[in-house]
Amino acid sequence: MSTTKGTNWSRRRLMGTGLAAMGGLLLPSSMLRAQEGATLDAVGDMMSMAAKPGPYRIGFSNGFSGNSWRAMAIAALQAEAAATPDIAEFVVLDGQGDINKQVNDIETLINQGVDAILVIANSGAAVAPILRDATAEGIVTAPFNLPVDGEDWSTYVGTDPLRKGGTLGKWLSDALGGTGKIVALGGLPGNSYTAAGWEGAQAQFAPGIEVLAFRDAHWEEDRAKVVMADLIAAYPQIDGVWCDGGQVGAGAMKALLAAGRPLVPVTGDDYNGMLKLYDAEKGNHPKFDIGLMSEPTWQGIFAMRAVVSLLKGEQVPKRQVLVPKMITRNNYAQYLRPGLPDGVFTDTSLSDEELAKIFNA
Amino acid sequence: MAASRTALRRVLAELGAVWLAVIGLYAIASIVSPPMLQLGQVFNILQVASFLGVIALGQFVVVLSGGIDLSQAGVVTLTNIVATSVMLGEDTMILPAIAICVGLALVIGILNGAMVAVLGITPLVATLGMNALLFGSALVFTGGAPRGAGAPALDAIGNGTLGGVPVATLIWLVLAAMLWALMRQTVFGRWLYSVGGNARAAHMMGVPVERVTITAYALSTIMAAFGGLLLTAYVGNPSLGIGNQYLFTAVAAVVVGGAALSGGVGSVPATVGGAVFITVLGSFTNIVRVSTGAQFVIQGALILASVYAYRQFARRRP
Amino acid sequence: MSQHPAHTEKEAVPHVGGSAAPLLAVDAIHKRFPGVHALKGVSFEVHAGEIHALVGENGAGKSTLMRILAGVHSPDEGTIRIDGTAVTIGSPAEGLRLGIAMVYQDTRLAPTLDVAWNLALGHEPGGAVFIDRREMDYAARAALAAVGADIDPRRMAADLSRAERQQVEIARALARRARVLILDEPTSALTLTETERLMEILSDLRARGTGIVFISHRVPEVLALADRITVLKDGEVAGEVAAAAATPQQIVEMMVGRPIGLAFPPRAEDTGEVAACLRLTGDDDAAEIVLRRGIITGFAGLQDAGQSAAARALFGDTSVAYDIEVGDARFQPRGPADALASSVVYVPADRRGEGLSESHGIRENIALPFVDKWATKGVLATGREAAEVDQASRAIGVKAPDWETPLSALSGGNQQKVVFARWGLQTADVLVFDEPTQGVDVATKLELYRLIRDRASAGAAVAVISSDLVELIGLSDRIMVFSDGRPVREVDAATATEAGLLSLAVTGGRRNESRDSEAKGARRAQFGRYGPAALLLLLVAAIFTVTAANTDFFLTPRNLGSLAGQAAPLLFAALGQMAVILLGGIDLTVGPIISLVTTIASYLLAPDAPVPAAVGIAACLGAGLAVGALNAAVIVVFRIPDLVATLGTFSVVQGLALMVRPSPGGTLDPEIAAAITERVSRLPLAFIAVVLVFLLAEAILNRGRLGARLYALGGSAEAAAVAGIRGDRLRAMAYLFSGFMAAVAGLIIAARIGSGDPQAGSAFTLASVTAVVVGGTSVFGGVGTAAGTFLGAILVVLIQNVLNQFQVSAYWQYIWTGLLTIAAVAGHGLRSPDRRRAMAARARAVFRVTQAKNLEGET
Repeated sequence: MSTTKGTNWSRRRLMGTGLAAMGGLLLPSSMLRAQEGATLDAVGDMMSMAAKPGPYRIGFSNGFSGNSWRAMAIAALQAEAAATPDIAEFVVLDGQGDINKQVNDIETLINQGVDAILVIANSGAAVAPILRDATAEGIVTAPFNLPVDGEDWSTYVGTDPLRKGGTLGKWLSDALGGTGKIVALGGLPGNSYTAAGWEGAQAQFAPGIEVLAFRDAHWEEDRAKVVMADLIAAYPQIDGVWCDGGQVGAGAMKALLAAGRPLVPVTGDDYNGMLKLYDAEKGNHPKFDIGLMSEPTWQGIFAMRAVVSLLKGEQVPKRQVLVPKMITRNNYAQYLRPGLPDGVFTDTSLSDEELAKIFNA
Repeated sequence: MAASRTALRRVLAELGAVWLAVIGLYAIASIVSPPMLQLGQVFNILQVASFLGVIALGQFVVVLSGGIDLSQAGVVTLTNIVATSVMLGEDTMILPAIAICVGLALVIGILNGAMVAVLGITPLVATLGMNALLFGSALVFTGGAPRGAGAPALDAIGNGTLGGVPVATLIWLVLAAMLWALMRQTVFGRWLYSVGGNARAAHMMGVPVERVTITAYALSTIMAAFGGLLLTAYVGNPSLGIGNQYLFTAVAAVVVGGAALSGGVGSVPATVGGAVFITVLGSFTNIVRVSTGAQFVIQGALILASVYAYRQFARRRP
Repeated sequence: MSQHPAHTEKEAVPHVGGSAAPLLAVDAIHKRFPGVHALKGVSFEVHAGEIHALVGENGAGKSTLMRILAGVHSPDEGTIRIDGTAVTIGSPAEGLRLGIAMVYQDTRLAPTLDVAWNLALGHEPGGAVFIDRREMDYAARAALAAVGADIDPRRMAADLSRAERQQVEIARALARRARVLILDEPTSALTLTETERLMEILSDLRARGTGIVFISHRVPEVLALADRITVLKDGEVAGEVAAAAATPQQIVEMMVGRPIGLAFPPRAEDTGEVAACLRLTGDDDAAEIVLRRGIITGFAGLQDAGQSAAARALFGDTSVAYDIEVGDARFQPRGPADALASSVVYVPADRRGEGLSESHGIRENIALPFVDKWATKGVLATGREAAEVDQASRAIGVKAPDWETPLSALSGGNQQKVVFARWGLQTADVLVFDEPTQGVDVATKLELYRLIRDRASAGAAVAVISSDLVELIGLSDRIMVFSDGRPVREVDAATATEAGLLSLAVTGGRRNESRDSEAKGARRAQFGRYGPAALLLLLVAAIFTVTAANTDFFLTPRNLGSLAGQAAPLLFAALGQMAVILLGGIDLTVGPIISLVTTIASYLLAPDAPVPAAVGIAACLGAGLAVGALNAAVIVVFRIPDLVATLGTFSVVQGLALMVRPSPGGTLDPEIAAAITERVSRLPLAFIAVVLVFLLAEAILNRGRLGARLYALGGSAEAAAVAGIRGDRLRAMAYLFSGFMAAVAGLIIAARIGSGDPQAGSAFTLASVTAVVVGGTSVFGGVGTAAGTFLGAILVVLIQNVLNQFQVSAYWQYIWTGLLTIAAVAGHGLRSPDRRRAMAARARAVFRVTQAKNLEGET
């Protein structure tokens, strides 16, 4: 088990951490430190299967691309695949945000005879049947980041949106001292991640918290800014904003700024733009506060390692739940990357050089 | 007497019945949420409407020619991506960024126009294909991780006000006035109306139909680029999904404004009204406490109701 | 008017008076429209074996009366009797049933159906679903033979000449056993021989006991043919006379309501200098067409004998090549703009199609060709425009409340005056009028004659094309006779006779191999039906071959099975979309319906569902039908255009899906899901089912009653109405079908994803439209095949699969998809040489610089 200090990670150091984590995996129900602050909880039974000879062909069905989080996640996976001798080929298919295309993509991966399939699902319900088929054919299936319904897949790595949303909700409730009027801004209409997170959050609000509105903001700054502008006009008093994404939080705060209103406590994730905004504006707005919880872009690496372990016949937990550390006013400086674009998610395994490369592409 | 009635009728026709719908909807929204009546909120809505408004101006030109432009969404996204990556937060790069974006939009518009006017491809499919191509290009260009930022000076345009009125709104209205003059005071405008009304007849009367059509598509994408630049100034950041919302809303704004999708009929002031209507509608459904689903239902129903009412009104007018 | 046309001998058919009831009688009919009392107690009757002519000025009420008889309008007061029994004619279909058939001036044939279909439409021989094609062709030949028309029943209506279209319409009326035949201006588009042929047919029908109502502006023709003549004026009967006893002068004065001079303006006294000279390229035998200043040259000939082609050559049409000189210089116009700049004006015959924009006002229409010349640096000279338009309109006597009145509100004669007013603004050197008096009433005709003569007197070289030889002889100074596409002889109009011109027109030229080209046309029509599909098949085959050769996992039974399964939902959705697009509509709700159905299924088809599976499935399909009904209501009842309407319902249905299930979830009963996704070896049952549905659809489109109705309605709403097709009902059915098909696709998707998802169908709206359009269906309606749509949908899915097989990066996939879609649709435009030529012409037009001919130029 190792820990690292600071935020300027090199991949070698992460690999060290990862190897330590792998070692830890052999111990059931152990609590692993994946990165400073973040923990990886093994939940449920251990899984294993008959070993297959390597090297392996691994497919990745990405639900959609088109934001920097996904770009960083893919880059992390590709780097890991390149550094793993057991992996002969790493195929990435893109669902283009279409639930149906993603099912087709996974079907294509099955037809191509890959040994394992990693998935970030557009909808945790929609990919369940096709993953069941894949698993039944002896393919190792590993959803990560967003959970997939049921149990008919091999292993899962990711955060628990319900728990995460609850944590953020509790932080916001506490930050307001248990009373206040808030609005909530989510992601794409009808997505399960926001739904679970918001459900978790509502359960944690103190009785004095009044929810004025919940609106979808597409995880985009511009949308969030427009929606928030309307809400500001409709409600003279808004004491806090619950968001499940940093872009949305940043957009909401920018709308407050544009309307000449004071900034308020807001939740979100490790979006660099949010951190930069807090750094710039905290002095001007005494009530401005952040309660952020990262959604690590490196989580796929652990899914990939779990998959390789399974293929080698090793035991792996059914679920590994990532519990990232809160980013607040006290420790945000550790995550802030002033020299990097807003779009960077700063809880990352990638070096500054690698990030620069991704964002310069 | 008759002449003055004619003049009044012309003014009303040019303005469009949509403004009545705007006023009606705004009145209802104000009852639900009295803060809507504050001047600040009026400006707030006009600020938000300005992006859609500018983009819809371009869509209007194409619809007037008898076509449709679904590539505007892609142009908005590409403009946002290219502008931020050229500017990189530097004020000195504002002009080059604008020049590059407008130049790019010009090329895209000419390609759209050529596909429609020369190759004879159905506008719906031609521009939809172009939209996919543009979104793909934005993805390839950024590798999925957009970089860069809007220049700080742009903030004055995106978020600034002039005498209380948002600068973006003023830019929108200036562009609308310019387009209005182009439509009603120039040979090109007259040609455009004639091409939309009856392209064959226009050709027989010496109107360069193909060039007019291509120019219409170029104007559409250039307006989309202006809209994208305004949005960039407002948000200050690159976002790969920024244009998606304009795929159909720009068409909706033009249609609600009373322009006929068959071409040849419509006016700039009514299109401005259409954009305001769609935006007020969005604000209205935002402040009424209903679920997202109900929001969609209300928006759809009100668009239909307004188009129906508009058509009834237009029919009854002598 | 001095000369009567040498029409058929008039038979002296005595009226069957008093005792026998008239075949058709209207009694004291009133009809009011907002602001207009169109018919004021008109009574009128026609007996069996009688030709009763109905004449009157434009706006006299003829058209309203006819529409009432045809069942388009219903009268406000008065009765209609057939054989003495009062009837109500509620629709054209009912009129047909009662034995009343209309032959319209602009014929109402479905352009994208062939002749035999048009003849049988609504009454096809055969079973309940499919028609008996052989019987239909046989009946068509018989019907055409009955009117002496020599037309291949397999030719597309769109490819027929106007005379042929009219013959088909008359044949259709007779085949329907019409007892009363109403013909609206039947001769206005016919050449002399064709007119003569029509007269023969009508005489023959009269002899066989048909009652004929004949509406015409050509008084000599009416006198020659009719037994009785009823004159309408201002919505009232101005008089009824026996034709044998009437004179032209008398009829015209009754129509106009005052004494009127019926003479043509006097001919020119001097021949002026040559203004233009045309010589058919490479044909030494052809006569030279010389147009002189001050002179009116008439162009005479049979239908399509080359008169218009010569005139259009002056306007840059190169379909018939002429060497042209204007003034002393060679003149090679590449389009109307060049001609206009060189002071050459051509006024086309098709006023609505080529001459005017009906949605725009008089001012804009008149000023259009000149706005750029009046403008300074592109800015309109509105003051000058208003003044010029006002002066020109007044000078011509355009009747309108103001110059902003849209052209759609004007009568045909008034519209033509607008055209004349427009060209009165240009001091043209050469002016060509193509059928200038078509559909214009007598009084206006006389005005137009005077205006045309005035232009010649003012120094222009004028050419007039007219199929009315009386008019041509009376109006012209010289007459150029065309035959078989060539100018053959110029004669002096003063001494010309109809018989003489006709004999020149018939014998003057060589016979072309017209039979051959006709046969080719028929073959092309058949190839044309499957042309887009064939093209797509090639593309699909090429993609298959290239992918199979270069990737490892493509051509495996497994992947092909997957492809079939992936294609099935899109195929269902695309077929529904196609039904709508065939009618010129569009259904944007296809995607939201799929989403909605998955959300409903996730409750009603769940393992613990409150209802049996059959009820659940019925509810899902019912939801699709309900949305279809909603679309139909908005479009058919509230008359909101399709794209706008479904843009609104798109939002509504998407919202409903989100209300049923705000986020993805639920579970479909695995047994039901397995049943829907069942495979036979590797082939999904759903795919087999959809293939069968497509085969059925193609059969219905090609050989079914329903298919013909879709093509007819999509091709021309009027044509469909005349054939008794209830357009609104069919349109509503198309939307119901589309909704149902989307719901079927939704069930398959629900089974594939095993849950409900409010965004599951988001990609299907545009994908279905793309599949249909790529498949060669025209968005304007009336053209398309199920085979094409099938391949279009396959292509869309195939592209996705192939890009995955080649492991093309996610980002490039968008680009490839866009490019391939555009390429597939652009391919249709390159299919035929005609289209390629048109495309090249458009491409040249983009770069063309309009140039006025240099009149002092080379000699």
